[in-house]
Amino acid sequence: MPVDKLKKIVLGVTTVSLFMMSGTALADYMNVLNLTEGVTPTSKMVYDLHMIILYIVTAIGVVVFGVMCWSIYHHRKSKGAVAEQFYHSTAAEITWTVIPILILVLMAIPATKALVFMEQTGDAEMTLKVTGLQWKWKYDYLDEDISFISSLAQDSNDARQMGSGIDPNTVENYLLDVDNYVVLPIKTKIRILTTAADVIHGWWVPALGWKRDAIPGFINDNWTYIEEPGVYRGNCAELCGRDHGFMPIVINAVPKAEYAVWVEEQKAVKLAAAAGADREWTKEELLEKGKAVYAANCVACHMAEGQGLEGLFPALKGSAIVNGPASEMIMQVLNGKNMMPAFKDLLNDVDIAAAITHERNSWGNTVADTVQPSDIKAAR
Amino acid sequence: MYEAVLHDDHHDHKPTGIGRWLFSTNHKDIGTMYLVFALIMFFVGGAMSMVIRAELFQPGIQYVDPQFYNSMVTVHALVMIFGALMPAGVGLANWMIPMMIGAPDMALPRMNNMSFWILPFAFTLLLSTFFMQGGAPAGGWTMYPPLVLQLGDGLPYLVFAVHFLGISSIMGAINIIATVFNMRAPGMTFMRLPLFVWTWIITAFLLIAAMPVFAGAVTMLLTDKFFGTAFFDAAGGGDPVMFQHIFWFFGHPEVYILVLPAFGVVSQIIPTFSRKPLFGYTSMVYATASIAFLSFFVWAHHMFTVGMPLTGELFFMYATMAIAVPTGVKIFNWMATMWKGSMTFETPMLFAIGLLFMFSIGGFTGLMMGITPVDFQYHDTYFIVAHFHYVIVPGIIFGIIGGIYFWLPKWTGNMYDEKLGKLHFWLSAISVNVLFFPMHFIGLAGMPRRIPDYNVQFADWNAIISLGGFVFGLSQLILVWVVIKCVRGGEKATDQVWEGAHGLEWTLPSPPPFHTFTTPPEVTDATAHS
Amino acid sequence: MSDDGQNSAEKELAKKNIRLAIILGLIAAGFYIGFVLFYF
Repeated sequence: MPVDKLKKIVLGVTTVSLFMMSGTALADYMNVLNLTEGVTPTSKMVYDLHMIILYIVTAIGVVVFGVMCWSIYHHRKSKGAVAEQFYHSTAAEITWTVIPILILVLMAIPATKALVFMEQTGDAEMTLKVTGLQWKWKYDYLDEDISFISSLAQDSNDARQMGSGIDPNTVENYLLDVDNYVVLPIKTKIRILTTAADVIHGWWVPALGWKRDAIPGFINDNWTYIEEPGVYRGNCAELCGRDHGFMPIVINAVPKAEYAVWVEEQKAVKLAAAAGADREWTKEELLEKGKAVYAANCVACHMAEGQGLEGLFPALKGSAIVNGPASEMIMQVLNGKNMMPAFKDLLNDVDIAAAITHERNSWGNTVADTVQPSDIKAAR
Repeated sequence: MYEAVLHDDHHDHKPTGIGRWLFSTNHKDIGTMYLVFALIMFFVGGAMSMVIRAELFQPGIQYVDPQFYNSMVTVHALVMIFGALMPAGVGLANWMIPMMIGAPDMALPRMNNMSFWILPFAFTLLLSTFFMQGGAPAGGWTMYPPLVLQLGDGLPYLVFAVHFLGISSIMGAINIIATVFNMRAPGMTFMRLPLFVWTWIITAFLLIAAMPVFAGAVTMLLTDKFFGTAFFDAAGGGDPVMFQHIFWFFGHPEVYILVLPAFGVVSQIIPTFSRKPLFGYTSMVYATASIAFLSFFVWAHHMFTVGMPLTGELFFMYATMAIAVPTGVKIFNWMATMWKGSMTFETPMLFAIGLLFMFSIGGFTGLMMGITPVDFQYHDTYFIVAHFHYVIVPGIIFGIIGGIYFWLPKWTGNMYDEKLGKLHFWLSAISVNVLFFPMHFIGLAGMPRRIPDYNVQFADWNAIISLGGFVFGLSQLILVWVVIKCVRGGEKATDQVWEGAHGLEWTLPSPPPFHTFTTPPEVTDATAHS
Repeated sequence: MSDDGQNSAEKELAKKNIRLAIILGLIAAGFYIGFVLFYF
């Protein structure tokens, strides 16, 4: 009895089912099966389109595979089938050319509508500028003059290091959590500009229903309208180097009133930081702050012990620049070099001063001086 | 049921020793070298995919640094596409085309030799980058700038490897066109050619049109890095997206370059094991030509998220959807060939039917991805990875493997071990689905591609996928064993080998003499394609 | 690897082959150069 395609399908389903039954609950697999409906009109349109097309191709598949299975079963030599010798039929050729064309035209209509809808970026109530960096996101609320960097959360970052010994299952929202959430108001048309500072990145939050590349030197124009409050998580969606998998996006969509309060808080924080830049900081304060700034901004490349990564990122431990005159090091940090970004656009004076002080006092670096925020301000 | 007609034994002396291979101008030996090289590179690329699947087996980073992981992802694809798939296709072409058209050899036998020997050289260049400062390329096989320009010392080696690969392919394509155009036996008209020859003619034209564009693109990368140009640097007035346009203008025809030879193999296998002529020969030729023609107009569907104007997005969506029509025509014609035939299911037929089922699955997801607004969710996720692996692995690779089983008895004169062949097929067919089907799920659920680690919600499916990958990888060792065993010996094969086989190649002895058709055969409708 | 006594028919065929190969090669090279010139 020749083994035929029907048996193959049964075998395949059984194998997968056995895997599924073993170990964890079925639900763990079932939750991770399909596209999300999302929380915007766009995402819902896209989801519906996806489902329609999925049904259509499934139906076509059932018919086509069904006919093939039938033929395999029925037109077998071992069953005594004798081959006919026909080899053309214009009618058949026309039918199976025209019917697919009709199906495609039917699909193209709602698809065109959805695309046209997604292109309407006008009449936005506010604008968020998203800049992709290696390997974090920078957000600028252009109407509010608020700006901050959003990096992978510390607990995720610690756990993902090779040989960390930390089980990712114990980290909440592992690799999908950041230090600074993108707070946005619901029921507001928000224009989202995407760009990048170094290489091409991709900004993607599935719940919004789209992704767009963030391209250095160019600005892409997008929009969203979030209908429901909640926390929505996404990822960088264009290979951008070593830590492409470690620069997630987290949006906290809140009612308008709450958003307004957050805006005020952010402005206050910014004023305080600017004020902080005018005073003299103690070495302890700088080191404490510097350690945190280093962990959030520098460790991805220069590593936890300042050792860098052979062939890619220079070590800070024992580095000539770190152990040399402070003014040179300040210029390097402010202006960047090769793959290192220009931190003058990314961090404020206090943070830069603190990080530099931390580096000059750590891992056996013997300079042991302090750099004040006012030094940074002067150097800009 | 033909008698073997031609025996050219009187000068069937072969060269000996290593010179036989280094200086070969014989299409059979060169074909063998291409296939052996392809098989070795298949395992090299396969080993890299095992590193990938080992790291992705569990959440967290266990085995490799993320930078090295990115190199694995990048070089896995480069090796598979340029080291395994394309050389395997050319190997089958070299072996079979002259025999199928009644020619004594390829048109330009010395150039044929050079085309092959460039390959080990080019891959030495590429793989040597692993030992250089900055490591192997890690920006994806698609080499997008600015990221690819962050590569250290390896960039020139990558670019020159690509140049050499391109030269090899272009010379191979020229050889195939010249052979088929100028050296068909009398009576072997174009419309009597086996479909495998037709698909290779069309593939050869695609190669000549597309490979130079790829060479141009990587040259522009090189000059951007070393000679002060700014093609892809916005600060200098350039545009990184322009690279993507140029690359994919090559890249999309490239995927048809990969698949058309496999389609050609299927068009030889299915009529043979259905004992029935290929249905709709003329439509099949036109459909293949249409696919090739249309393939030049769809490239930007790889770039739907770059921020193209609406008109562009719509055009590429419609053009991409249109390619489904001639592709469907081919699938239906193969099914109609099977329909009311008298089928048996030896290993080549199993692989061919496997391609029909599973390439179609890849085709369906391809259609889904062609719908631009939904592609905004699919792009750069595992949904895409699932799609292209379906069309490549149980698509192209099953076609090539089917061809190997189909023609091994002709090449060696021995029947391969049918039980082992079937075992290879079933293990591969089941594990390939365990490996790639769940990728649709995790892609839709939000897992991006080209990442070494992921949120725990994806862990269960990733574990299953990795297990499927390990089984699939190990199963391919069965193919090596089958080939070695067959070369050593086996049940003697007749000239025709398979009951339903028709065509000039099946009139030759198994194995054929070193030189065949030194006198052109007579070709009538009866002896032409199935 | 010498042209072991090619007869005139074989020489004709070789000429045809090489001519076609050169034409195709020029087309390929033409794409490459045209491309580069276009962008420069």
